Parts: sequence; C-alpha cells; structure tokens
Amino acid sequence: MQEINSIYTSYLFLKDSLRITGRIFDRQLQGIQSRTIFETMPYDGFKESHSLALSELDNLAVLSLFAAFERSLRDIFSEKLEVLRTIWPKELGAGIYRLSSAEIERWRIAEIFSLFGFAAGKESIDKLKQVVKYRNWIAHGKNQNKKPPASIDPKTAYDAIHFFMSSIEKIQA
Amino acid sequence: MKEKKVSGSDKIIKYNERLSSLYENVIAWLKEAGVPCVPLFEDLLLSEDQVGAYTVKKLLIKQNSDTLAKFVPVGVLIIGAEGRVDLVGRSGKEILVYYSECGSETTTRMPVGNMVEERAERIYGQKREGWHWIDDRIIGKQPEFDKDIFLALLERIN
Repeated sequence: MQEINSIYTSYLFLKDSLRITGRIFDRQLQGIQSRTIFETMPYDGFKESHSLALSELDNLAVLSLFAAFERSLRDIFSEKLEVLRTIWPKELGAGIYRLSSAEIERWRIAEIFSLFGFAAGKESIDKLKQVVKYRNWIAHGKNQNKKPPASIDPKTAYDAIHFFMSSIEKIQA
Repeated sequence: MKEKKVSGSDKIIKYNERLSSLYENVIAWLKEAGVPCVPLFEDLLLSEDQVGAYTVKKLLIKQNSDTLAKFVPVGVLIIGAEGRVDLVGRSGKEILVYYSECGSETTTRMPVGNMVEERAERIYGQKREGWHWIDDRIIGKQPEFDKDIFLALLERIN
C-alpha cells in the first residue's frame, strides 16, 4: 500500500498546485508568470487549459494508482508460488516456479483479484472490475464510441483499492 | 434481498429531480449566508453508454459578470453512487455524488484458525440518502453535502 499511498499523496499535491496556479492567474500578479507558458496566455485560454489539466490529472491518477495496485498484486502472487520450489526433484521445482512466475505476468488482472473474493467480498471485486474498465478506456485513448459503463474519480479508485488491499492483508497476517 | 432493476429513463428522471432539489438548497443557502449572486440555469447534453443521450440543468452562480461557481452534472452511471455533479470554481473543482440510503453490503469470509468468520461490511460505510461530498484527502470520508460544507468549498474552489 506504500506505493499506492505515495501516488495518491502526489496526486493531491499536484491537484492543489493546479488550484494555486489558478488563483495566481486569477489575481493577475505582476511578473509571477514570466518565462512560463502562462506569460502570453489569454485569460479564456488559461481557464480552458486549466480545466482540461484538472481532468487529465484525475485520469492519470487513476491509471497510475491502478498500475501500482496491479504490480503489488502480481508480486503477492509470485511470493505465493515460492511453494513450487519445494517440488522434488529440485531442478523440476525450479523450472515449474520459473515458468509459473513468468505466466503470472500474462494473467488478466481481473481474474487475479477475483480469486480474493472470499476475503474482499463481491461488492469490492465488482467495484475493482469497474475501475479496470475505466482504466482500460483511458489507457486505450478514450474511445468516444465505446465509453466505460461508469466513470470514476481518483479518490473512489483509491478507496476501492485500499479496501481490497486491507482485506487481503488480513488473510496474509 | 434482490435489488429492483431501474431502467435508464427512470434513472435520468431521478437524477434530474435530485439535481433540482440540490440546486434549490444551494440557492437557499446562498440567500441565508447573504452572498450577493444571481443563479442561472443552462441546459447540458450528456451521453452515457447504457442510458443514451439526455439533457440536464447546469447551475451557474453569477456575481456581476463573473461566475463564482457552477454545478456541472457529470452523469448518472457512477461507480458506487447514483449520480455525480461537480462543483467548479475559478481554481478547482469538487465532486459530489448521490448515495441511496443503505448502499450495498459485501460479505467477506476470513479464515480464523480452522474456522471461517463471516462479516458484512460496506466499502463506503453506512450513508444517509442524499448528496455527499467526496473529501479527497487520504483519510477523507464522504460527508453529507450541507450548507457549512458548501460555503467552505466555495472558498476552496476559488
């Protein structure tokens, strides 16, 4: 969860930085915009770009949070495979471990987290499935003809991931 | 208990009613707080995959020629909620979502020794029906959107 918390904290930092940039531009403070892209930017153009940047930041945060979540989950699975190394003869166990570890990278993430349904609950799994759909929509260029079934903001994505990770931490303890 | 299926058009009707009621509250709160402003409504066309295209009202809170804030509906299909509207100001935006009264419960089964313990939990906790603000801080919850929160957010987004 440390990496996920760190990404979310950085997102909040950037969001408030954009907020302060908006306030500075609004107050037309002399000289503060010099040698930046804002120097010659008209007010309306700034407002439009500012609003777009806020939306893009939200989308990037969802992408980044989910990427970190996916990595953590695959790593947890890899650790579980350690048991394969105990297969005798040792060389065979090592081979099965190597092949299985590589294969995990190709498993669909929704299939992996669904295996934890007994610990995280159906609602949590369903929410994560919707986050995956939204994340895929962003990652594949936001196709306007094929919109995701529901939209999501970074905090809701963070809460869904946090709830899931806390649930599986309990069974690992 | 089995959930009752709600059609796309029913969802839109409910969403519009909930937005109208939110706007009525906001206008009353502004009046009570003595904020000089004029509310204006504009049509906004939204389109979502499972419900199609529909029109909703956007509320603009005008102060002379400036816009102090606007409520911009985002959609009815929202993960974990039944509609979203963004409160947008000059420097940022805040997210409001509509929660139904109880929300769905999730059952988890944790192995405890040789036994399995069943627990019923809600990801977002028990919520009262209505509009809630998504407080985006790490430990932030989703408090009910009321007058105090609205006036604080007006400062935050400007």
